[in-house]
Amino acid sequence: MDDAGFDEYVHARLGQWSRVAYLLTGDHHAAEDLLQNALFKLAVSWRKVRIDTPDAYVRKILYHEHVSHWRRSHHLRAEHVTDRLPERATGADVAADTVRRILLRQALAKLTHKQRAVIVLRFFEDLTEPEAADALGVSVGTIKSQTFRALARLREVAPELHVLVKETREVPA
Amino acid sequence: MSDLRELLDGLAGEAPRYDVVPAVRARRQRRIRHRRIAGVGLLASAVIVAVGTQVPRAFGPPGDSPAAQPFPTVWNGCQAQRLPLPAGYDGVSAVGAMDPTGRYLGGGASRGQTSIAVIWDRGGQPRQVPVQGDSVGVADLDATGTALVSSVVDGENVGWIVRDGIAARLPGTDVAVLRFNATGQVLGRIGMRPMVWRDASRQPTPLPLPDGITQAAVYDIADDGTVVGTIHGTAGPRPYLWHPDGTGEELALPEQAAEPIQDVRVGAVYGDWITGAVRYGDSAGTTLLIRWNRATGRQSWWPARSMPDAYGDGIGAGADRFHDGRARLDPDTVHAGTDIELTAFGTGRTLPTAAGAVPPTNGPDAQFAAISRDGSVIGGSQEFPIAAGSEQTIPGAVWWRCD
Repeated sequence: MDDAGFDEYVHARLGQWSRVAYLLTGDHHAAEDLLQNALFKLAVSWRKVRIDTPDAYVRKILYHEHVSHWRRSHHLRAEHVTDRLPERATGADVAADTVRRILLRQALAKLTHKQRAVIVLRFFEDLTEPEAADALGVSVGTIKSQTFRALARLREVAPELHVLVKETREVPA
Repeated sequence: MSDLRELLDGLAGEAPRYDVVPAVRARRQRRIRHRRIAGVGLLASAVIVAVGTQVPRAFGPPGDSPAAQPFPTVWNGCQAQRLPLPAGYDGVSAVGAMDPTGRYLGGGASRGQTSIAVIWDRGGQPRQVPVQGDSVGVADLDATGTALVSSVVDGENVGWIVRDGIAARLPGTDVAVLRFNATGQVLGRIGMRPMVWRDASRQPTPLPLPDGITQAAVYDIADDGTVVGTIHGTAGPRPYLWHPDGTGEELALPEQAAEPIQDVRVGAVYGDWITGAVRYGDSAGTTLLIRWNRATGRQSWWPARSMPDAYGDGIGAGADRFHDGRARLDPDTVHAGTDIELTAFGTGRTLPTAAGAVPPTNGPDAQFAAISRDGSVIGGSQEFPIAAGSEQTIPGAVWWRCD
């Protein structure tokens, strides 16, 4: 591709967007597909539209792709078990850590895609409510209500993760 | 970090870098081939129109007003014009400075062995800058036409403020003046040491350097006295901001970049905005244009082909080392046809050349020295035949106006 700067941008941000895609889908194959579609759209748009901040642009494509994919194939949504070993886990807490991750993965899978997107936007990407609203193209009020419902749902489906109860209290209504 | 954040971080750690770039590239190539076969071509003008109409404002930082968008719209209709010169001054001329509004341009003109500093008002016939000494140069101008000027008097570098035709010499010896602000505070150097003349009638104050830093470069001073520049330590060059009280802080660079920094420029500070660029030492020479908001602490960046030479509020102008915008050429063998570009951090416009200008064989089509705050006026020079029909060329002062 002759699109100046595209490769450099992707090189710099591929790791972060890979993590976001994985958190959104919970599955490596789905994450790879999602990321590939988002970056392809970015590549097509790279020279044609004015992109103020590439991160915001990719984020919008990624989350919209995620939600629209869900709309098209809601019935295909299922839990997946990764066949790749965790890259970070080391040391004595591996077992407990792994259990917590499995619990979280299962709990996230029980959310709607929009609720899941809100959780990733707010608690992994650490965006503010207005920023999350912008990424999803919804109002700040929707972000607040979706966050509340998502956390309530997590608390309901994964009571073992006590932290989520605490998290609910931390999020302003 | 909350526990939920830790959990999400842990889960995200299971994700490798998905190597989707080859697939994206292949899909892109297939699409291009398909479009070529189908005879679908996009005219450049059509693309430009789309730029102005399709981009939602929502890509800016939430909460900012449209006027505070991180990257302003680039100008479309630009014209290049050679600037008029005083009678008889048929030698080298160039623009070197501009006021933030773009009304006043400062530069130099020559005939034989004589050179003078001049100021153009709206591109009209220039007037000579009345200061003592040789090698007179205009460093900066304000919106009233007051000029910050340098000259050499008895072998010593001297700085002046010229207001209403009256020149006042700045205190200090071996003075190099760089910029001044709307309140008359002057940024410059004594020798190699960055200085600020908070009062143009008094001795300057040195800008303190952080511990371990022995070298600094300064570029601009805001109306509140804030200075922006770069510091050079063992970690290489870093962008830096000096507050009016003399304290300072580094300006954050994009955190994603792990490569060593080869070059940093902090071009301008206007209000809350600071513009600059960074080039990394990787094999691709990755270059990012950066805009910092010093009120919010937010930073926006954009991959670019090259570092601009002149910086406005959010728009820069630079000569690019690419041929036809495609192949990268060795910097030492820049060819004719090299793009000259007005770039608004993410979008670019190739600028026209002035009538009669000759593309040089050993450099870019133009040299840029100054740009207005909004990017609508640019000053610099291009090569022109020394006489009608001559193959020999010399630099001539040119300005570009966009609307």
